[in-house]
Amino acid sequence: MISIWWVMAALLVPWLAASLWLRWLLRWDAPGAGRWALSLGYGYLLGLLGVALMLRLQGGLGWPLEPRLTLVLFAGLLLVGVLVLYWRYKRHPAAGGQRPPLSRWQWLAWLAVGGWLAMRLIDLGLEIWWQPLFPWDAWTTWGARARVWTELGSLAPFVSAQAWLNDPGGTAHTIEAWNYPATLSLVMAWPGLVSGGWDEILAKLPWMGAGVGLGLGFYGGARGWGASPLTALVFTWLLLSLPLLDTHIALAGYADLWLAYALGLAFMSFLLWLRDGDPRQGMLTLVLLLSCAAIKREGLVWALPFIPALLVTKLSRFGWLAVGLGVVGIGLGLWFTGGIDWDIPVLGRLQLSSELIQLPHIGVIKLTRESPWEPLLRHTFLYSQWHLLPYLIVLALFAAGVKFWRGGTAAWFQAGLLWTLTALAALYVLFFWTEAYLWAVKATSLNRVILHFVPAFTFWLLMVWLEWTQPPTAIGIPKGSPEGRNSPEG
Amino acid sequence: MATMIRPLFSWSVILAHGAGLLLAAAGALGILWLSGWLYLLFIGDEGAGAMGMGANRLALINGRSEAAAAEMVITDLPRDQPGLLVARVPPFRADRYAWLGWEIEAPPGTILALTWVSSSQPQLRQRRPLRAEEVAASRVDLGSAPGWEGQIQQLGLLLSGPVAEPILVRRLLLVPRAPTFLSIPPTLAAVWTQVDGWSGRAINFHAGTGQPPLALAPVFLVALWVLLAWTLARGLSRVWPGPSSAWTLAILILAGWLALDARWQWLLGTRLLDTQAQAAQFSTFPRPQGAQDEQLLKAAGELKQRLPLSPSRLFVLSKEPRDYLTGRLGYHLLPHRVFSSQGLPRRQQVKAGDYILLFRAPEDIRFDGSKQQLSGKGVSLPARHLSEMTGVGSLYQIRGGKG
Repeated sequence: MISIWWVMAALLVPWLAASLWLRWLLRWDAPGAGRWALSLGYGYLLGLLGVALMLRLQGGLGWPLEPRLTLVLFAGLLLVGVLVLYWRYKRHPAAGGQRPPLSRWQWLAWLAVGGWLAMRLIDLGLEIWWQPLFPWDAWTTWGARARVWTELGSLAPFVSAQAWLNDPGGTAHTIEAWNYPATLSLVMAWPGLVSGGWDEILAKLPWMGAGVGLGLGFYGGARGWGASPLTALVFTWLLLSLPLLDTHIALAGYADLWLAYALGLAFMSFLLWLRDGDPRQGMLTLVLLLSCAAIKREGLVWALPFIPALLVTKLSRFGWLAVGLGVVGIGLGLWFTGGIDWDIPVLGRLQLSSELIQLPHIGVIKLTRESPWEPLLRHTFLYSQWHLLPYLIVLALFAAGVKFWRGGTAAWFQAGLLWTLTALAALYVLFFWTEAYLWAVKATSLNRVILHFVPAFTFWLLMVWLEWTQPPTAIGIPKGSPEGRNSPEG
Repeated sequence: MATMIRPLFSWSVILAHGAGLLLAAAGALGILWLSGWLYLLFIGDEGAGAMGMGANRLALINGRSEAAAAEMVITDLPRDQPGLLVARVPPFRADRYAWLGWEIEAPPGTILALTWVSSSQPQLRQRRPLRAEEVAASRVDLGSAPGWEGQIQQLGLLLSGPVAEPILVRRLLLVPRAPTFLSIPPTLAAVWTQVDGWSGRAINFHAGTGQPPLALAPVFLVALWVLLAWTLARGLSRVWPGPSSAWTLAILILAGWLALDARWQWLLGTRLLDTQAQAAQFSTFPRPQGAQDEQLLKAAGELKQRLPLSPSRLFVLSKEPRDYLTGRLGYHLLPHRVFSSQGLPRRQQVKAGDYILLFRAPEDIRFDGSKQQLSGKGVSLPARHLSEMTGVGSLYQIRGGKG
C-alpha cells in the first residue's frame, strides 16, 4: 500500500533541506529581495539532483537502493538547516529582505497574476494526476528504467541491444536509449522507492514540482536582479504560460523541462555573479551546469555559450584579438589536417572532421548543410507553442543592440547579450549544419531543444526590459559594489 | 521601477492614456479585419483555406485500389453496394465551404452521390445523389445539400461498380465560400475556438492554428495587431498624450499575450475535461493509454503470472518490433528483461530458460511440436510451448543447455 505521507516526505524533505541550506549559504543576514523564492526554486532542483546522486552512489557501490537511508540523511540536513537558520534569525532578527512599498493596484495586479498562475498550475497538476504516463520517451526510456529500478530495488544495468544479446547469462536490461543519463530516471523512481512500489502517477509528480520550482526560482532571480514584485511576477507568468512548457509539465516524463530549469537557473546565477561579484552565485552556476550534463547529454554542449559570455567580462581588446586568432588558427589547422581523431583515456573518443563530430559523453553528430527555414519560422513565429516570445526576443535583440551601440553598458549586460547570441548561434549550427535538421523538418525535437533555452531567454528579456526602462544608476551597478547586492526596488 | 509606474497609474492618467490606447487598439483591430477580408478575397481559394485532397489523403473503404504516382487507381468495387471513397480531412464547419470538386477519370455513371457524416447526426451517413450536370461539371454545390450542417466529420463520394476499366482518382477539392466583410469575425472565431486534444505529438509542438491558412494563425494575428496598435498609438501620441513608447508597446504585448494565454487556458480546460473523462473509463491501475492499451495491460498481467517472479529474459517477436503495441507490451512486462525483434535470436544469444513470445510474429517463424523446435530464417532453437494467450500470442521457453 502506497502511503501518501511517504510520497510527500520524498518530495518535500530533499526540497526543503536543500532550500534551507541554500538560504543559509546565500546569506541569511544580507538584505535582498526574493531570496526565499530563489532558495526554494534552486532548492527543489538541487535537492532532487542530490537524491539522484545518492541513489547513483548506492548503485555504484553495488548496494541495493536504500531510499529510507537517503531520506533520513536529507531529514538530518533539514533539521540542521532549521537549527542553523533559527540560530541566525535569533542573532539577526531584522534580516531577511525588504518588502518594497507597493500601491494597492499593484498588489491587486500581483494577486490577479498570481491567481492566474495558480489556476494554471492546478490545471497542470490535475493533468499529471489523471493522465497515464503518456508521451513516447516517458515510458520507453525515462519511465522504463525508473520502473525497473523501483520494482527491483536496485540499480540494474541497462546496456545496448548488441551487448544484451551477446551476454545471455547477464542480468542487464536493454532499451533503445540505454545510454541516456540516469539522473531523471532516478528522480522518477524516487517517490516509488520511498513509498514502496512503482506508480506512474507518483513518478510524474516531480515534474509538477519542477514547474513550481522553476517559477519560484525565476521569480526569486528576477527580484534579486532588481525587478519589482509585480514585474517579477509578470515575467514569471510570461515564462510559465508558454504552451510547450506547460505541456511538458502536464505530459510529464520528458527531460527537457529539467534541462530548461537547470540551464535557466544557471544563467540567472551567472548574471548575478557577474553583476554582484558574489562567488557563491558563481559556484551555483558551476553546479547547475554540471547538473545540465547529468540531465541530458546535450546539457554539456549548452554550457558552451557561458564561455564567451564570461570572457567578454574578463578580456581586454587584446585578449579578444588573441582568442579570435586562436579560434581561427585552430579552425584552419583542423581544416588543413583533415581534423582530429583522439582516444582520450576515461572520457572516450574525440573526433572532428568535415563529415562528423564525435564528443565524449555526447556521441556522434553527422555534419551536413541544410536550410530548414520554413519549419523553423513556422514553429517559432506562427505556431502557438511560444505565444509572442520569439517576437519579443527579436525586439529585445534590437533594443539590446541599440543600447550596446550607444555605449556605456555594464559588463554583465554585454555578457547577457553575448550569451543569448551564442545560444541562438548554437541552435543555428544544430539545425542548419548537422543531421539534427531532421528534428526541425519532422517537428520532433525542434521546440524541445528551444525549450532548453527559454527560461534563460525570458530572464534575459527581463534584464533588457529593466535596463531599457530604468535609469542607468538603478541597474548599471559596477561589479562588486555594495549597491550591487541590493535590489534597486527593494 | 515603482517610481516609474506611479505617475502612469493615477486615475486621471489611466483614463487619458487608456482612452488613447484603446482607440489605437480598436483601430488596429479594424485594420486587421479589413486586411483579413482583402487577404481572403484576393489571395485565392488555394491560399484561403481550400482543401485539396490528393491520393495520399483519400481512402477506398470497400473495394480494391492501388496507389500510383499521384493518383489512386481503383481496380475493383463491390457489386452489391456502392464503393465509398473517403477524404481524410480533419473535422470542419459545414458553412465554411461552398462546393466540392473532383478530378476523377471514370466511365459515365460511376460517380453516384456525395456522402458525409455531420456532428448534428453523427450516427447517420448522409447522401445527396449527384445530378448529371454536376457530374459533368465535376463539382457539387454544398449549399444545396439538405443536412449539410454543423461540423462535418467525414466526407466522400459514393462510386458505382463493377469496374470495367480502372478508375483514376487524382484529387478532391473542398472550396470555401467567398468571404464577406462580416464573415471575417466568425472565420477567425472558428480558428480561435478550434479544440484539439492531447496527442502523441503534443510534447513536440502545439500548432494551435487549426486549418490553413497560416496567416490566420492566432500568434501571427496578435503580433500583427500589437505592431499596428503600437504604430497607431505612436501616431496618436502627437495629438493625444499617452504612455512612453516602451510602455505602450509593453502594455500592448501583455494584452496580446493575455489573449493568447486565455485561449490556451481554455484549451487546457477542455483537454483536462477530456482527460478526466478518459481516466474515469478505466478502473485498472496503472491507467492504460486507451482501450487497446488496456487489453495489452490485462494480457501482460496474465503473461506475467506464467513467468517467474525474478526478472527473466524474454524475447518478444513482432513484425514491427519498434511500433507502439510491441513497445507497450514490453513496458507492461517490466521488470522482466524484454527484447523485441523481428526474427529469432541466434543460438549463442539465448540460454536455457529464456522465454520467447510470438506476438504478431512474422509468419515464417514456426513451432514444430514433434521436434520441440522453434525455427525461422535459418535459425532453429530447442523450445517447448508453454501456453497460448489471447491478445499476446504464444509463449515458448528455451530448452536444455545452450542451443
